[in-house]
Amino acid sequence: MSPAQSEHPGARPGESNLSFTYALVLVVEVMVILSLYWLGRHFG
Amino acid sequence: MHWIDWAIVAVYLTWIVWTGLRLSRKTEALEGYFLANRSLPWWAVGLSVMATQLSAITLVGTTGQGYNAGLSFIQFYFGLPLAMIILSLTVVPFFHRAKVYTAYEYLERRFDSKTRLFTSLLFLFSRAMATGVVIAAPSVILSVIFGWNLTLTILAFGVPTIFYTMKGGVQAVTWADVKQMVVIVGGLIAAVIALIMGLPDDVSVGAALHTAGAVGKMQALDFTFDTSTTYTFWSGLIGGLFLSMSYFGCDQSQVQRYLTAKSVNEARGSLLMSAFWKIPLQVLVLMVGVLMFVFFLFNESPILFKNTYLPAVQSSPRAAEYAGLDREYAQAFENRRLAARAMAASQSDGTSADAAAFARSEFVRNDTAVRAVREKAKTLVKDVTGDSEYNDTNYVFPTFVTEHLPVGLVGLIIAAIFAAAMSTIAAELNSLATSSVIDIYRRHLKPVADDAHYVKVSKFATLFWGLFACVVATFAAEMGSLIEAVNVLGSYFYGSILGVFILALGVKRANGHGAFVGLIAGMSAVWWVDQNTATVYLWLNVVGAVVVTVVGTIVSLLTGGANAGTDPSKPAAARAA
Repeated sequence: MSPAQSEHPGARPGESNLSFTYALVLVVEVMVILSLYWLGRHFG
Repeated sequence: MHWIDWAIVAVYLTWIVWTGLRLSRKTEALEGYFLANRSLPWWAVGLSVMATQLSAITLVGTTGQGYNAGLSFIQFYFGLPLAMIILSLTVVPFFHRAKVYTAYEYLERRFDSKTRLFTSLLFLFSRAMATGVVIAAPSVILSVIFGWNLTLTILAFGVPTIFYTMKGGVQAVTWADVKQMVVIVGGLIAAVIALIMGLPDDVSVGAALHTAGAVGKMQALDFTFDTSTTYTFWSGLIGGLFLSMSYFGCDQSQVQRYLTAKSVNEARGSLLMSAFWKIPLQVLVLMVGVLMFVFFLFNESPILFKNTYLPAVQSSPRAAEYAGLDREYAQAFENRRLAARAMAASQSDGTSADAAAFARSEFVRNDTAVRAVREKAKTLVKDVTGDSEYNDTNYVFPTFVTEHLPVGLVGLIIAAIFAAAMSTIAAELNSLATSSVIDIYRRHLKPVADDAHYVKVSKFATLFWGLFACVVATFAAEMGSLIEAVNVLGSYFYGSILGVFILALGVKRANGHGAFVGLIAGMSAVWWVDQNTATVYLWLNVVGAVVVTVVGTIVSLLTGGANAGTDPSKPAAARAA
């Protein structure tokens, strides 16, 4: 993960649009929770 | 401990202290000492954020929880990634643009000096006590395991940490954290490898995990909505969200980490590193616990892992009863070992479904028998010693390390425990000093002085809080699962302080009176709920934040709406803006 993303219109210096990274965080969390669910089902 | 292990720990300590001393040259100005001149890269700050949160209690307490309860504790962290996104969008840009040193400084600009003073005093009190617990936890455990003197062990954790934090300020803390994270993760991976290598040759990792799963250790998720159950999906997602927002957004020990970042985006990146990696890292920690459970199915383990009670029990009238339990345990352990082998064997080749189900039920039955004997032994110890809080959860991992790891690895794991403790202690001492100097000393006692004076006072404050935490650690009683003790203590304040920041950032018409009265109401509500209901601590954060926000908004509206803050260092127009 890198904070260096493309600047968006109206962004302040040092700030840019991280929407993709935030979405990625959510996707990764859902995948981790699903993996934990699978672990419980498979080994439980 | 073997001399090679001692040497590894000594090399680690020297390496970390040298790091701090090397960076002490860049700390003549206050902004350099407390904020590293806002120059640090996101990855270093991100590792520091993670190292600060991951204390020695996490290493020894959470692995113990993994051994006892499996993966279910992971649910505690489900709210964290969401909290990191919310904080990246809200407080991170606010704090950076405001150019503050502390989170509480911002509250004076938004509200008034009493709100800032009260929240900073709450932070100083709760964090100083928590730092004492952070030092006490590993000190008590290592002193019991190795027979070390408790006071000397506390000083072994405290003195080097105080020294490099005092000399090098936040730069030393951050760069030492980066190195300490390497040691911690290296130690955890080494432990996992050693645990897997310690399995019998005919037991595969998959079969081992099936055995753990048969007794619920692989069951991470519990979707029941019950506020009296500590770790469920919902308490982790909602309660954990509020706890994480408060800890990372309002607690100076974390806020100060990302105030050192080069820019708003770098600060956001540092928090998002935890959003991505915290849960997988905690799964690794808990898996160490689960694998220890499997390891101790096939390798000898004591009836109880904390054996400080033995002399008292053996000289009591119930000594014979305890000896009987010991024999009963030996038999139950052997039965379970055979059942575990049978179950592991049934996982492979062409075993029929019925035979596999029988092997599994036999293993579960024998595991229940072992746990029953252990419970009887714990009850006996509690009766004989009068220690109603007796618990051996925190002693499982140290017992495994000292009795089953080879020379060299023992030193690495002990160094990792030191690293986990020191990284947290250093960040906390640094933030305690910052709040003391910025929120109290410079604001109320000596508003005008040069940076050299403030840096000198800051070093003294670091020394003071370090010694204070060591004294607290010396007197801290051992409390059940220590990680919970720290979190419970925090929950009395965290949710309420979060509520004040929600008022500050989210309620335009909120004023100082509303924030102050709301804070008192929130903490009172948390206290009442904790005393009168079975609500577990994670939900207390939600109660505190909601009560402060609601009461604070009502009181603000009744007392005339928003004010412009009272920070004398800012002109009125700037405060209103």
